[in-house]
Amino acid sequence: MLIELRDLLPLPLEGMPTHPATLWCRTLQLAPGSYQLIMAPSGTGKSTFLNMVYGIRHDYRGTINLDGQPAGALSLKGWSRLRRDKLSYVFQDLRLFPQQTVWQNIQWKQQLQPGIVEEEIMHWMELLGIAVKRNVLAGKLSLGQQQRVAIIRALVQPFHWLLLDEPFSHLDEPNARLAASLILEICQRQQAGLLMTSLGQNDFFPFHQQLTL
Amino acid sequence: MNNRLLLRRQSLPSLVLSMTGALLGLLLMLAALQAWLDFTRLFHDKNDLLSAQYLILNKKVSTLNTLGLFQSGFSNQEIAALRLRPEVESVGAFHATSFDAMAILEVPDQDKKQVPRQESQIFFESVPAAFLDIQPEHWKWEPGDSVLPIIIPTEFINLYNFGLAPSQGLPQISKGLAESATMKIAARMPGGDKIFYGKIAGFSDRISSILVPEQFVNYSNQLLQKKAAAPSRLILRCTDPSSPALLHFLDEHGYETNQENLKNARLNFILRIVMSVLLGIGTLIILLSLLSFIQYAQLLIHRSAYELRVLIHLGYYYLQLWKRYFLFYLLLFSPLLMLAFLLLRLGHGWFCSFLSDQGLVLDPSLSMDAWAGGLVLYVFLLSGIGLALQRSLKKLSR
Repeated sequence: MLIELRDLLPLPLEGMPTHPATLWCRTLQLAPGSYQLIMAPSGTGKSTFLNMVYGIRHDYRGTINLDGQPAGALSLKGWSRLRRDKLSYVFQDLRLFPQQTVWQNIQWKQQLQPGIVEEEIMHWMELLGIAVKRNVLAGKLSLGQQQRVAIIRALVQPFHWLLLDEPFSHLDEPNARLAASLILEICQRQQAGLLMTSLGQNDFFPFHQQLTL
Repeated sequence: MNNRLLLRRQSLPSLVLSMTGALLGLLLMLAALQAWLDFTRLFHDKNDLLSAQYLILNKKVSTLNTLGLFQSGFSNQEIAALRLRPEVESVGAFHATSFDAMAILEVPDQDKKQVPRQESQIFFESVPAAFLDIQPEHWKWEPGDSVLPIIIPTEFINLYNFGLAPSQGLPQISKGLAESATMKIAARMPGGDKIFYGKIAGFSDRISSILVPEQFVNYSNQLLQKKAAAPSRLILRCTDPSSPALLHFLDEHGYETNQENLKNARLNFILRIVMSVLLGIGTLIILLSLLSFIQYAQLLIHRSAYELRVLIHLGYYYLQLWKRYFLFYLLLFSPLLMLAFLLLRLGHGWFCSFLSDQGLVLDPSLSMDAWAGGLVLYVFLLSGIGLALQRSLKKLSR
């Protein structure tokens, strides 16, 4: 799925002095399957941008086109289809259900799109070292463990783009590498693109483009 | 699926309160509906104590009438004005015969000793058959027939049995005996007296007059070459004989009516008011309970707003989530409806046995309309809640 951005700017940023950005107020095309790094300090709208692409925020000027269709014209049903089939998101604040077990959290996604079997998901959990936590309440896990649950949940569906909002913020370097290699493997398998935000430079993925805000 | 996540934030006391309200409202409305149906059935039973759709009108009789200065008949214009009243369904006129007649009561031989010969001057009237409270089998007369069917008021036989007979030491007469008796009627007509044999065909509670088929009155008047006189009495079929507007109209024009029927009509009216109030209270309670359910549903959604938003962000469509909530309410309400029907059935059965002790017979089973009414209310409540849930969830999705 091709993502086109035209003259995009979140309304709260309007009129504020911005650094020379390569994303805001530009016309950009993000090619299907490409890996994009969005790099900027805190509070400059990284999450806002991902939320705009994901249809959670609509307070912006300019347009976002998804496969030529303006995102602003999508219905609620259209968004839910898109989130089931084409867009997946690892939220910065994770958005797990703390009172449910790790497995129940993942199941919500699996029930929505039952394409990926339990064995495979368990294999991923083993890779990331959280298989033993399967029946533990998500709220009882460390933030790092929760982050890995959120990553796995995002992988349990077909997607054309994976949105990663500072996905390794609570992980140490070796665990982050493990998670990144799993993500890369799945993205390659699905021929999907990546939109990852980060505070600074990193080499977790072979990025095609770096964008600043 | 995992419904516990979405429904776990319940507040038992408010749920129980809403359910009680809904049950009470359902029950009251169904009871009012069933009572209304029962009473309409009673009202429409002909000749029943409570039926009072017929009014008999005459003009007030004053000294002027006695002196012959004032016409007591109803003119065509007056009848037309009555027909125009919204409460009046139809108007029938009383037509009287205008010949002199003597009636001689003859009873079958075996009863001759007990019942003395009775002789009296007599007159006849007719009303359209549709206004009669009884429909005798042989209610017709054709020129040449010597047997004349007659309807007399029940009051007559009561008056004789409980007034005249005891005071004069005469035997009482049953309705059956009266019907088997023949009345010799000598009518003075042009070209000599004619003899008819009157047979009592029935007794009327509604009309206090001696009635014969209309054909007989028409025939005799033609024979006497009399123009039909203006009817002195009218019978009205009314939708609501106790309507104040109608009573005012009658008063204004100096018409008198049979007061007893009016009393029944008022009773009928009061019963209807009581049932309307019951229905109104039921409606109010239903609406209040719907309101409390809607608020409860909104509360439930509000309390799970985080979970719902996350699910929507994971790709759930709001109607998918709505289905889960709706199913919950469906499961909640179905036993409620059944309980309401059960209680209604028990209450109605008790009420019917109470009424049958009072001499009013009702079918103790619930009428189809009450079942249908219950279902309509059930659908109404559920769709109200369903719509409120849908709106709240849609709002969350944006």
